[in-house]
Amino acid sequence: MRCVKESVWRAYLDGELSPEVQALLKSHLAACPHCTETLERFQETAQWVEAHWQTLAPQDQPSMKEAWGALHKRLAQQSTLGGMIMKYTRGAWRPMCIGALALILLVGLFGYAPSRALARQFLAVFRVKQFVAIQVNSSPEQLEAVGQQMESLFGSKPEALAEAPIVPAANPEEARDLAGFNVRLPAYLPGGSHLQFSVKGRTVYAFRLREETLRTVLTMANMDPNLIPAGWGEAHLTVELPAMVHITNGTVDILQIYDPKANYPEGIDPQILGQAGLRILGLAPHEAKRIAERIDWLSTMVLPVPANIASFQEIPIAGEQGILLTPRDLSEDQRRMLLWQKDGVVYLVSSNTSVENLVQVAESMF
Amino acid sequence: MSTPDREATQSGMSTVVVISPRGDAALLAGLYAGNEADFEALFQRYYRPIHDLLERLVGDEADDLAQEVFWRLYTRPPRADVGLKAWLYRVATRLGYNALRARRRQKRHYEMWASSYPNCEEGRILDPEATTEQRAECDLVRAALARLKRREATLLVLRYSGLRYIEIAQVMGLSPNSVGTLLARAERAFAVLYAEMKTAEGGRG
Repeated sequence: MRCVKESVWRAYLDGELSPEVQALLKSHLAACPHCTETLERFQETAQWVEAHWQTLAPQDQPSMKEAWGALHKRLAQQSTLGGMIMKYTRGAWRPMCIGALALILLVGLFGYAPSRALARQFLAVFRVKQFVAIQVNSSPEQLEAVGQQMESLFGSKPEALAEAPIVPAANPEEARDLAGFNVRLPAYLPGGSHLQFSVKGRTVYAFRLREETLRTVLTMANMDPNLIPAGWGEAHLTVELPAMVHITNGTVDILQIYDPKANYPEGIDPQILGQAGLRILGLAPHEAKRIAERIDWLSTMVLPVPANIASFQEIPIAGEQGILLTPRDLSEDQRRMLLWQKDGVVYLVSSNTSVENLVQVAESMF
Repeated sequence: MSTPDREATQSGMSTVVVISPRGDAALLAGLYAGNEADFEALFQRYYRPIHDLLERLVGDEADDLAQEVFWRLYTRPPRADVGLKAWLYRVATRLGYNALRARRRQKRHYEMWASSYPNCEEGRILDPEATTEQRAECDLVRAALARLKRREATLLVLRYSGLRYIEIAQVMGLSPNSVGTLLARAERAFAVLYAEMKTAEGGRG
């Protein structure tokens, strides 16, 4: 047998080669003074390193009890911050809107819960002109942690400046009169033609947004907190949902939201907050920057879709770009959802039916 | 939260290590599902070796860094198909080496740098002279590690923490076949750096 490459002896020394090769090399050693010398050299160095590494050996074992106690305390502090945001979005696959601003907007948008499943899938909005879905690799737990962090930052709950009750309507005409906009009905609807209508009138939530809070958000995103102008102070942020109508036949849920909008605080570039949101959600800095620059944050509803929870695809509906979200595991609580906007109204159709049926329902409304 | 296993561990018999029959992947899946007992089982399984590695690298900063490793595991766990052990060691070596380098940057002069490791002397040797000697030894080893390239230092730390080549390869994203070669090189580089520093120290003393 010929001599092997020198470095192989290092692996031999650690017994890291296959038993056959170890045996072969061992028999070679007996006949080869050169390789024996190489091996000895490696051994000497390794023993020398080992001896020096041992000088670093800890004297005492760490106290597992103390270590767990400290860690547990930190975890507990995190979770007692409550789940103001996440409690509302604790669905199968929490669609969340992003940007520090958008994250808090989310809070106010669950006052209307015509059906539990739908409420979980409900989305926050600015004045929505378009939807963009972005795949993020965050786990549900990571998203939850983000939500909790945000909640702890914003501290107080949003204040309802106006909140209309949910009232049933007997038919589309009554729903239209209550809501004040022209409610669209699908011509095609799988699962029966018995429809239930309910309407929620004007709802306005207000949030207080502080300079320090926004700086902290930027810091969390590893961005320069000084992007928030010094002396910016604070702003009151309002989210207004003029009217919503919910229609269901038990199989398909349709939500129509008339002209939802939020005021945006002056003096802060929405791109910066958008970028911070993307980074907090786990996008790499250059990705976050690139995407943030391409989005019109004042008219685009951005949906971060966790890759391991749901997938998305773009589907045109009535000439507008719609987004179809499909949870990885479909169930009664985890349903497909199709959303789009047209002429200032945001539409959201949710069901466990097939994609084709869902699209057909959507198209049949126009 | 409370399990009989954990109570046994916490009641003073701190050497008891709870070995769960469930594998890392199952526990990680449990963590994803929000099962805190599974997180604790992972903590029990890996805290000690991770802490040991960090304490060797950074001394008394190890408590904080080890907590950070498990904090990250809880708040930002790796994907389910990633080897958990490799992930933990990767996070730990990265944090440890960064801290080691940061200290080195903070203390430009070696003498100052060496004195920043009070833990090295903790009751190691009764003879006061030997204590100083031991401490100097300990500081020199760390200083040499800090001056190694990140990859070389990581390799040494992982190998001498007892990881197999296949595990080292997973942590560092290497081919298992290249570990021996790189390890031999890292050991040589370490010995050279150490010798240089030892000489420099002798020259000053």
